[in-house]
Order: sequence, then structure tokens, then C-alpha cells
Amino acid sequence: MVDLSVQLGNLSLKNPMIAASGTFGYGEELNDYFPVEKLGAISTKGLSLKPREGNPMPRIVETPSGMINAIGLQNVGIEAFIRDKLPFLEKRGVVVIANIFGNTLDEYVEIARMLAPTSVQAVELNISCPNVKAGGMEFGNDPKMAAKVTEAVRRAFRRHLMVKLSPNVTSIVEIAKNVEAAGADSLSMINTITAMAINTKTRRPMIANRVGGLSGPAVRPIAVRMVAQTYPEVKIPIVGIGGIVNANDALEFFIAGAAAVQVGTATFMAPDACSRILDELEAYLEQSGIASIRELTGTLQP
Amino acid sequence: MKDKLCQIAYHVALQEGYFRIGLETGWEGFVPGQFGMLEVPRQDGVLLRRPFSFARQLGGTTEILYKVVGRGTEALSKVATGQSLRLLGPLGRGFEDVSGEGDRVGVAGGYGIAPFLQQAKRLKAQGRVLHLFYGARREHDLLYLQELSDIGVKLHVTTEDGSQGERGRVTELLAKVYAEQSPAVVWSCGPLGLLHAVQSWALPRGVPCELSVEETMGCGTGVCLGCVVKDPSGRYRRACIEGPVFAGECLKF
Repeated sequence: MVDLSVQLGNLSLKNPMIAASGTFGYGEELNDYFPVEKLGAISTKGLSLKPREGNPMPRIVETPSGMINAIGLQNVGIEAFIRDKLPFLEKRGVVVIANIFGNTLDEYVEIARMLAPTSVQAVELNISCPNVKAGGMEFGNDPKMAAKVTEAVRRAFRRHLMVKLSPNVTSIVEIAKNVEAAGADSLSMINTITAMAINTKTRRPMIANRVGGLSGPAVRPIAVRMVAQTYPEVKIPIVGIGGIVNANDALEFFIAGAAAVQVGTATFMAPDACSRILDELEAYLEQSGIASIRELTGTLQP
Repeated sequence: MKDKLCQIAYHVALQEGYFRIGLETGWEGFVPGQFGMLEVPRQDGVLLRRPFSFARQLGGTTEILYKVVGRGTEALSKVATGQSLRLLGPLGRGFEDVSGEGDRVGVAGGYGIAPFLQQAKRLKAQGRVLHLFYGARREHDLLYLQELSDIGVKLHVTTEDGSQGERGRVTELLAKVYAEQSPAVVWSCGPLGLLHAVQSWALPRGVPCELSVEETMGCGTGVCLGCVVKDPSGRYRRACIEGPVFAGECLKF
């Protein structure tokens, strides 16, 4: 028996497999394919203060070894989540990471306050959305703003605080350090990469929002590089995300410095992808005589 | 719904880039209008599965009709009989049966014909006939004509260029044939323009209609939110879960 459990600061997970936000609904959608409590945790669809309908269609387009999406954060809103969606996850005994986003600092704080008295074990801050008050500039693009929102949410929510970093920045390491100093318990990286695809016949963008976020195996080498760069510079654990579709992909992230991983786009390719990759990881550890997944983190050789 | 590795029982090239592929699903059947997410070979950077409506169930084999339109279907068209592909299905909401008297009418555009083969079989088992209005660009785009006629479907064919059947739009022929008496129900599958035309004809007459939408899909399981359509209240509905067949009054074009 190998030990798959990991410790992300104050958050204990039975295994390092986390379903990535926006790819696993609110958990109940995919429970027919495997018991979702098998996962270390589920990061919910991004939650806002009020329900959002999202962007017009088309919203997704496949690109080489990846896809671009601009869903526009369609979600039921924090109240409906707590009332209608959370009970299912509680009943199944799932470790819930609530992914949250706001248009303003105050919105982030208010959502965090509403989650504080619930059973949600962790909050994942999506700081890749534009700050309406600051003229649409993304929180996650500016080290000071990233720190400010982290600090404010930190005060409103005392349990685990994970901050999801945007790769669309000059120095992700600088953002990571600022977010750590502001009180984050862990970093999840990376969010999608801003991208565009054009229909050459119509000369129009392939998605209605013009630009969207690139995910899938196409982004993995960039994500692995960013985790490897950030790992030596911070003390808090890193959750690796980016185009993981099998155990070997996940191993790259562990070796680069991740303590856990999130799997996203692979769930679109097969609804049981998280479960299958977790099984593959366990089999790899057994075959390799590695007692614990924790032994792998940050073992990158020069 | 299950995700299953299915052997390919047959894979037949039809005219003009159309193919029929038979997958050994072992299913007893499906509701006409339901679909599956079929794995395609991951070459040339293909990543996601492709959604296909099911055409018919022959024993334990489920047939899909498709046209080569891009990288995914191009890769799929090269897969040989005997090989296996993963298929997730049957997914979504199919056409609903209706009770009461009156004609059961289908309106298909192009390869939107797919679900009507099984629908015709379902009706035949009830001792009923499908009155099918089938429009295509030209003769080459008309599929399953023999199979439909073998099931006893009452066919009304139109082509835009007049190369077969009546020249013109299929919904114009529908309006002409049912100018006097209304059908019990209209089921439609095809391009958005066709669905809109069917809706505009049926709803004001109080004819129940069900429309099967074709949308790009990422996952087929309701989590990617990439296949949504708008309802009259302005809310987005997922074609993969709440659809792909929607009651006519639930869609806003």
C-alpha cells in the first residue's frame, strides 16, 4: 500500500487529485461515472456573488492539443451554491474547494464571508478576472492588487486559502511571493493562457468573446516551467495545473515542485479522467517502490 | 449512460464525404434524438471527442451517420473496421412520443436526417407512419432514402437546386401539405435556420414541436458549458443535458 495523502498547509487530502474548477460542475454532474468522493478534492465551478449567464456562443473551440474557452463564468451564484449544490458534496464527504471570483475587492470579501460559516474546507481565489473598478485590469496581473485581494479574503475566511495564479503575467514568481506574503496557504497554477483562434474563411474570431483561455496538453510545458520556477521561491505548497491527461503528465508537476495536481480539460475528454489518472499514479508508485507521493515533490535534478 | 470501448462492426463511405459507422455498443436501443460522444484518433492535435446523433440500432450495433467537416471527422473517417473507439452514451434528451390522433411529422435538413431512421422504426412498432419532410442542398446530400422507404416512411423530399424532389425549402412544402389539417406533432433536426422556420410555423398553429439542435460540444456531460442555447427567458440551457431535443417553446432563436 502506497501513501497518496498530501498535506497542503492546514488542508489534509487523502490523495493529490483535485478536479479543476470549471471542468467538474458542482460535483453531482459526474457522480454517475465514478464516486466523486474518491478524489482528494473538487474545486467548484467559479462562484460569483450573483448568478451569471455567461458569454454568448460560440464559447469553445478546439486548437492543436488544446482548447480555448470563454464561458464567461456562468454559474448559479454563491447563495444557490450553498443552498442547492453544497449539500450533495457534503453528503458524499467530498473535500470542497470553492472557487470564487468578484468584480471588485468587496465582492470577493463578501463571498468569502458567506462561505466562512459553511462546511467548505477551502477557498480558491480566481484572480484572473478584470477588476471593474480599476478599469478592467486583472487582479492577477498586478502583484500589489493580487496581494490586496488575498489579504482581504484571508481576513474573511480563516480556513484554507488557495490562490490560483494567472500565467498571463511578466513574472509569475513575483506574484506568487506577494500572494504568499499576503497570507495565502497554497498556490494553484496555472490558470488558462489568453489565446485566440480565427476562422480564415469568415475572418472572424472562432469564439464570440474574441479571446479566451487556452487549456489542455498544449499549455503543459508552460505550466511545468512556471511551477519549477516558483517552487524554490516560495514556502507554501503548490498545486500544479495544466494539460494533465495521464500519470506521467502529473509526475512532471510533482517533480517540478507540486504537492498536488488539478485535472481539468482531460475530464472533457473522458468524464472519469481524474479517477483513472489517480489509479495510474497509485500503480506507478507501487511499481516504482515509492512509499509516498510526498517523496516526489520538488525532486527535479539539475 | 456509459463510457465504453466499442468495436467497429462496419464503416462505410457513402457519397460526398458522408460515412456510416456501426459501433458494437451492446445496447438494446436509445431514444431517437439522443447522441453520443465518440472518441476520434488523437492525431494532428485532435483532443476532444465529437458529438454524433444516433441513426439506428441494429441488434447490438449502434449506427452513426457523419460527414467529414474538419480534423476530427477526417481522422475518424480513416479508422478501420475491427478497431475500437470509446463511446460515451446514450446522452441527452431525445424526441418524446405523443398520444392522440393526427400525423406524426418529421422535418429534417441535410444530415439532420440521422435520428429519423430510429424514430420511423419506433413509430412503425406502434403501427404508425412517419411523415417525413426531408430537405437538402442537392441530390447528393440526401441520405438513407432507401432505408426510410423500407420502413414505410411517407417521404416528402425537397432540394434547393431541384435535383431531386420538389425545388425549394422543406418548410414551404410542410406548410403546403398541412395548410388545412394540423399534424399531431412535428419533430425537427437540422440547421438552426430550419429549426427556426419549423418553430415559426408550428407554434402559432398550436402544433407541438420538438427541435433537435446541433451545437459544438466539449464534454457531453454538462460540465464545460460550451454547448448552450438560449431559452425565451434569456437563460442558457445546455444542449447536452437539457437537449439536444428541446420543446419548441423552450428555444429563442
